[in-house]
Amino acid sequence: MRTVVLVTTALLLGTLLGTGCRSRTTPRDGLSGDGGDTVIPELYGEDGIPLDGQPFDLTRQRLEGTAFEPVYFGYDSFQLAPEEVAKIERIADYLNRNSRTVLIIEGHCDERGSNEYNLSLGEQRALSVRSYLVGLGIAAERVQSRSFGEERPAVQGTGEAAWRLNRRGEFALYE
Amino acid sequence: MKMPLSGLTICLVFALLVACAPAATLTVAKGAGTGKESLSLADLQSSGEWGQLFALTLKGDLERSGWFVVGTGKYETLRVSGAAQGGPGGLRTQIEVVWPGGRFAWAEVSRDPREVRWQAHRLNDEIIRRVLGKTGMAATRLAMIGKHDGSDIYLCDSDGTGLVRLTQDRVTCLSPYWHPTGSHLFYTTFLRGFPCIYRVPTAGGSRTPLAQFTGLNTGGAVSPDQKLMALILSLPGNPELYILNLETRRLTRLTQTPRAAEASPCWSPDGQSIAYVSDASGSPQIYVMDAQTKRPRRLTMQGRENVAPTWGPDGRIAFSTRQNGYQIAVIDPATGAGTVLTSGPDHEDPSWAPDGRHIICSRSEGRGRSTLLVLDTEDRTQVPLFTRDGHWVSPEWSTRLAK
Repeated sequence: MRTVVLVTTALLLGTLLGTGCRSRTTPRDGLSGDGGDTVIPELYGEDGIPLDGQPFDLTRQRLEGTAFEPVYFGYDSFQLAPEEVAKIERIADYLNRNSRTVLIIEGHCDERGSNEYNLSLGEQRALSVRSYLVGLGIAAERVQSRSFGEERPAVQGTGEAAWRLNRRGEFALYE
Repeated sequence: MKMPLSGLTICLVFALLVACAPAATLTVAKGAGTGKESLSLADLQSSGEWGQLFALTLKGDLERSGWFVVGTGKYETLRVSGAAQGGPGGLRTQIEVVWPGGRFAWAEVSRDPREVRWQAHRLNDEIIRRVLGKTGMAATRLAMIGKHDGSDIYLCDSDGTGLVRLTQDRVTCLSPYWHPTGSHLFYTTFLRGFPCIYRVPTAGGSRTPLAQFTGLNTGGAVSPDQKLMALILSLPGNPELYILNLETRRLTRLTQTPRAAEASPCWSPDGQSIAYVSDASGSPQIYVMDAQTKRPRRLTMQGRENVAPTWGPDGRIAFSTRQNGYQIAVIDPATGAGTVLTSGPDHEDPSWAPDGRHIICSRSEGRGRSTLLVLDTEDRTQVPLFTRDGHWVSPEWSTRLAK
């Protein structure tokens, strides 16, 4: 089931529109209406690391049995604590040794606060891990973010013991 | 939706009759000291099941509006008189509303129970418009997310009746927004594994994806002129606020905050500004951005966390503030003056009713569950929207609807 979903996503993300675009790289078709024309959005002056490039090929299988420890975060924070960085370096080593493997970083939050803000915060967490990986030399197009906000806690319950384990970035590898 | 006038409805009508009985004691006060207009339905002759349903729905709406005390005496300021006759052909009303400043007549035919209730809702709003010159909130619907077996979008009427399940996806979905006409809902769903914005007709029917860029797609607040959609995309490398022109499909970026996350956009009533959440200051706070100049202004200065803004028709912004848990607060963006309306368990996800007086929000019931509550910002009363079991979040009030 997950594979089907990811294949669909890959196809959607992978639809390339090449004409009329002044952007450095090729934007993807993120817009679809009721069968009408699609105008290519203008995305100039981007900062940060570009998410585009070659479409993320997710037709491959999710790799099981390569569990990497989640990266944990402080409350309302997407800063990488020094003690968490080693976990990202281990992933980078793995990706360097396995050049056909691609990665989804799943960003999560604890249950407190608005679902909508937590969805954005989870994305920011995943993207800060991604940014660190890119800084270590991993190609940006091999790493995709996905936020679940507070929707998928690792641990049920309230209190800092549970919340601490829910503010996390998880790694899902595909080959 | 099929809605026979079943035994359940009759029981409900009876239960309402019993529940409404104490209201008669309010007649003695004639609204004195409450700041409310006293109103009499004593001369409204209702007959048949549907006539009863009409009268009870109208009475409930008038009381829920916050503007009236409904009595049965003959000394009330406002008098609603005439007939609501139910019969084999439906409900036929012939009603006159009289008050010191004027009078108006109302006559309509309704052919099913839902029409009967909506006729009462529309008459309630017409009374409020004619007598007080204000906007009612009865002829509206609410969207919400029910988290039962997965999450799905549900709809109900302003009085909590007529609950229907709009989506049947059982996958995580968030943040429903009404199209200004009430025709569609815009919401975030993980239908395809990643958060994308979809549009779904409120009458049911097929969905349309509106934003499915790489990464995060959420928000989906449609401007009052129906042309623009405010949304959050992580396309440039982190979550940022954008506007998508729904006609030209042109995308415009509004924020430039590579070290901050934006969330929860909503439009001002005049469509000139967007309120949203940003953690650019180090904690999530509410900002207001002029959609033309793209200049942001931080609105909330106090509290370590202020989220989930909703911009009311009179210009006030309600939001959820972290203060002894999460509580609902209201701020005037012109003066910055704020008031906290709730206390106790967590209250979150406010949404203004189109009357500018009431707010719907969620209230935590513990054990990971929450219910929906209607707050009266003037009387400070709190009434559950409905008494159904379950976990209900993200309520969103529609504008006034034709039916």
